[in-house]
Amino acid sequence: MPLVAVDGLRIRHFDDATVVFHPLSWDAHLLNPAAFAVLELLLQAPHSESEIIEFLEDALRDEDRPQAVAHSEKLISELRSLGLIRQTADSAIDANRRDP
Amino acid sequence: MRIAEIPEQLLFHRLSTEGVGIDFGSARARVKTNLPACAASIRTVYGGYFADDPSGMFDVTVDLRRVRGIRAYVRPQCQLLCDGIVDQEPFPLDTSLPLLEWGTNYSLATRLYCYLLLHAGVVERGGRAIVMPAMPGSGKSTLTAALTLRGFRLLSDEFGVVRLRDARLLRMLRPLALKNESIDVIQRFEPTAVLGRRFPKTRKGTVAHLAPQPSHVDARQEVASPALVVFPRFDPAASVELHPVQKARAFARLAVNSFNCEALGPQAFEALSQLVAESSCWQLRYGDLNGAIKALRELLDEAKQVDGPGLLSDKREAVRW
Repeated sequence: MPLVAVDGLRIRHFDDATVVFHPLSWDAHLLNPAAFAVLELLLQAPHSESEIIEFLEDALRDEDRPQAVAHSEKLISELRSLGLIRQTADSAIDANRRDP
Repeated sequence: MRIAEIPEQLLFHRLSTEGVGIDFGSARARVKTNLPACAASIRTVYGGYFADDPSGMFDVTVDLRRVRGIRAYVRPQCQLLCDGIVDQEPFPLDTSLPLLEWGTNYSLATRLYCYLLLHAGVVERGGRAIVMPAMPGSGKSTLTAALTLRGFRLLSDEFGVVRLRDARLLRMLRPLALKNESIDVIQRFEPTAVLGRRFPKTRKGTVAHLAPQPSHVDARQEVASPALVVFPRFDPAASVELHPVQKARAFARLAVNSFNCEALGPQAFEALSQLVAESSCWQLRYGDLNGAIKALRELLDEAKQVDGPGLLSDKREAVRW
């Protein structure tokens, strides 16, 4: 099932990290560049886990590429546990909702 | 009229009847007590404040009274009523001022939801503020006191009061509570500093209060813009060391040091973001007060040379004075 970022996140960039405020939990989270890249991808449109892995493979350096699957799974798991991303049933509906 | 100018008997009469209004800058309190010793302490540590008309609106009314009943004779105690309610444990009668101070701070921390409140010492020079968040025991109050005795103006020792709409720092001018060794350190550092009497055997050891200077009281309505966020740590083995702190990390540490970040939610997030964006963030380890003051003065001057947000590069290498 595709994944998408939750609505209403507030985002501030500082140096090499990003602080994200969750509108429902009212928690603020520090994200490293890789985590924010995935979040940004899912803010644009829903993506499947395999698409996220592909995206990270492209973004990673050659020597880190073999770990892309492990990296992605960990990132997705952490972002989900923080409530910053969620599964969505219909990618087309969500994509239209975000880009009317 | 300043409180120090009121004759002792008249001040006690006013405190024990209608009370005295005191303006801390971002909050006002109506202070009452029927304890003569407490009135004398108030006259010393609040001497530079103005005795305002006690009628009208105040953020809190604090009333320090002797506990009645058997406690009037056996280990006598005092208790603090905040807006008529006792929400602090009673203290021994001879530690009335510490109870008044802690109780007032607690009351303000739990009432002022119109501001973001950081547990931080804040001083300013030329309208540019240094915010010093720290956990108890880090040397924050000692450093804040020393800075105010060397040309910086006090905004607050306990509360960094941040205005939500624009992240400006407001004043919460309260007597500075010095504990244990730091009392003698500050007395030696500046022999003319006005310190109240010492209260031994409190929950935090011996406590004495440094009276804010009258010129700082006069500036209690002025705001300051954020320039530096400095996380101080006293280390007798260190001289003075400054290390840059990443802004995102500074954001997280400030949030942890906040009294009401969670309650204010998105408003606190925006104000804190702006404060951090406009500040240069540093970790300070110091064992020498004069060296720390010199280092902070130079950092602030450097920040002043650039106009606009993001004033000082955090890329600077760790520096040692």
